[in-house]
Amino acid sequence: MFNLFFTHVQEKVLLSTAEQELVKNYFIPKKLRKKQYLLQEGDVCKYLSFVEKGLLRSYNVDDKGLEHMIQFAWEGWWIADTYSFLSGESAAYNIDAIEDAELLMITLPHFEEMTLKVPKMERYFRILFQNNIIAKERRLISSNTYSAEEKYTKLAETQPQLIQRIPQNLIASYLGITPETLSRIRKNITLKK
Amino acid sequence: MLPLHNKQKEMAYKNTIAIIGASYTLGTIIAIGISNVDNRLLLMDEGRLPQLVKLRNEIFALKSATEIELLHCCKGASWEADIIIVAVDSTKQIDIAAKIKEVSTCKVVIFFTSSANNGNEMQKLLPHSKVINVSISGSIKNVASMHAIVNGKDLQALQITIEMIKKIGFNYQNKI
Repeated sequence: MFNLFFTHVQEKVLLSTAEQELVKNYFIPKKLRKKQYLLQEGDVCKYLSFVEKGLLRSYNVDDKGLEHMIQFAWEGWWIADTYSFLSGESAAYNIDAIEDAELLMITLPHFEEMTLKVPKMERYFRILFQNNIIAKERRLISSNTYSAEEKYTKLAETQPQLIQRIPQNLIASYLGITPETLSRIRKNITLKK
Repeated sequence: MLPLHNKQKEMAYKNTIAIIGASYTLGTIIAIGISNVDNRLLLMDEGRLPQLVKLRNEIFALKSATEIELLHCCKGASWEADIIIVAVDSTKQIDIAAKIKEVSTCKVVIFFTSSANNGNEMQKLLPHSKVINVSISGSIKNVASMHAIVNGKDLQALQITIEMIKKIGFNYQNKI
């Protein structure tokens, strides 16, 4: 149940067996079925969730009812509405499962206690949040600078798993383009090859 | 067809409650009592699918919008659940606790029993869960005449349990 989680943690910090046992006690193991909600916009995000298995997405819905993808999270990824999780304010995103999922979830009080008792976990999360900031900055640059085709090509290069695993309409929404535009881009790329 | 925004509201996050031993008398009373549109019920019993199907139909007849899944594995049900209710004979509860231990960390686990309560023993078996023990007495044929003594340390879990007991219709006494 914690296999992938500790593999992921050990890539950044080395935990002893005793520390691993302690860390385990703070996480809620949770299975989520496809299409089931983990968080709804307007509720407080109570958990930071690590994906052991499956695929989730975070997104918001505009006034016209259109969904805008924020993030996808599969095995080895974390997902939450971080602002809501840390501040206790209402969430701006929805999170649900695209595939059946197995999660490890932690609440803010447990997060605080765990990082105090196992300081290496604080370092782990510091590295994680650091990487997250960089990824968000890159996505912002990509969104402001690149053409639709460049955005798709970059995504295919950096996250090929995402392209293979996620429905095209959701990828289009993630890139901020219409499914028709994405279809055209994919066709062009195939022709170029 | 509903507009997307309404559809989204319709699919809002629901607490998933597993009832282990749902097809027996006490489990059935609990399942019927707590079923509503805000919860998702996981009715679990081993080798008693016909009885679970009957219970599901009974709940659907009363509250058609309830979301219900039938399961045969207590570990699987507890893994999927936010709240776990164990309503099996007290002689089987220790065995159930051992099976669900790994997947019940930090979750509310409510042990219902019609015999004398085993007090803190279940909390010792599930040290990282929020364990509540509920002792039930009175005639099982008349829910309103039944009394529940609630015992547990975690305040949030106690509150959740008391709310459930009120919904079911038991009289209750909080033994903190």
